[in-house]
Amino acid sequence: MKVKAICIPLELGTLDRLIHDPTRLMLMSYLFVVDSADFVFLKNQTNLTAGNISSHMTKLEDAGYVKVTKSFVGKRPQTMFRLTAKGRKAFENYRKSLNSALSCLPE
Amino acid sequence: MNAEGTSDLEQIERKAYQTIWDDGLIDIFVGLALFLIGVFWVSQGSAYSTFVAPVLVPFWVVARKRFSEPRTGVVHFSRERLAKENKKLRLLFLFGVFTFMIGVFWFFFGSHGESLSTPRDLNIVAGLPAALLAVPAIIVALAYGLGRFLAYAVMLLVSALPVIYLDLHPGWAFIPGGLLGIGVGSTLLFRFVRKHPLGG
Repeated sequence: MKVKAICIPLELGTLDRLIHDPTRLMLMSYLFVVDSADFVFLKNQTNLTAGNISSHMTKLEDAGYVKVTKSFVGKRPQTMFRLTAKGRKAFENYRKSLNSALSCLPE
Repeated sequence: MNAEGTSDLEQIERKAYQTIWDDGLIDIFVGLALFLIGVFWVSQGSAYSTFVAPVLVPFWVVARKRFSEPRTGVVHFSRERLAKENKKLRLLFLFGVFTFMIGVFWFFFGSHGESLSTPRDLNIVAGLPAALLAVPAIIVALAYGLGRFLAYAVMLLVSALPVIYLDLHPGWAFIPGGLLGIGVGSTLLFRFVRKHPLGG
């Protein structure tokens, strides 16, 4: 069994804790694979509650990872979410760091 | 997940894309189009059948906007996905033109003229329109991952057989496929409405 013990703490230390939260990771994953999506779409896809999505999106927006656009379609309010360039880069870095860390773990 | 985690992300994207077609509206409209084309054609109103698709497409677009999107939400896909979809649409359009040209050829030389040789050949030609429509149905099934369109293709091919062997009107071959589409689409729509209640 090959164990690269040194690289584990190094890679895990670089993980973006804001993205590392499971709920935010799920939301970021959906926004990463599409251009933009609205609140209802994310709620249907993730089965998260509205409050849950709102609170996590606020954190991602505050970090500059997500851009939130609010508008009305007829009389219906619509909240669109889109990953910013910073958010996209952060997600890619997170994936790389996590994969490197996981590859260091013993099988 | 592979080393880069891409396969899971691709699955997420594919799953998100598939939800667009979960409402069954496309099945209902395609089924309705096939059914109406068949009925108009059989009842000697083939001129009306040419207007069926252009009339139904805007209705489908409006139905999706007004009925499905408030329930499923709005999503805009990446440029890569849109480019891929445009390529598939171009392929379908080209095949549509090809099918239309064969239809025109058949209309002028097969049904009215006597230039397509023996009566036996004409029987085979009678099943050709339905068989030709089975091909885009297969393309849609493969390109968009909608397995049920394979069932519509099979139904079109199977329906073409009695038309050929019993020397029936070509329009009859469209009707069972159309009814199948309407039936499957209605079932999907029922499930969709239950799963995604408005404002739920």
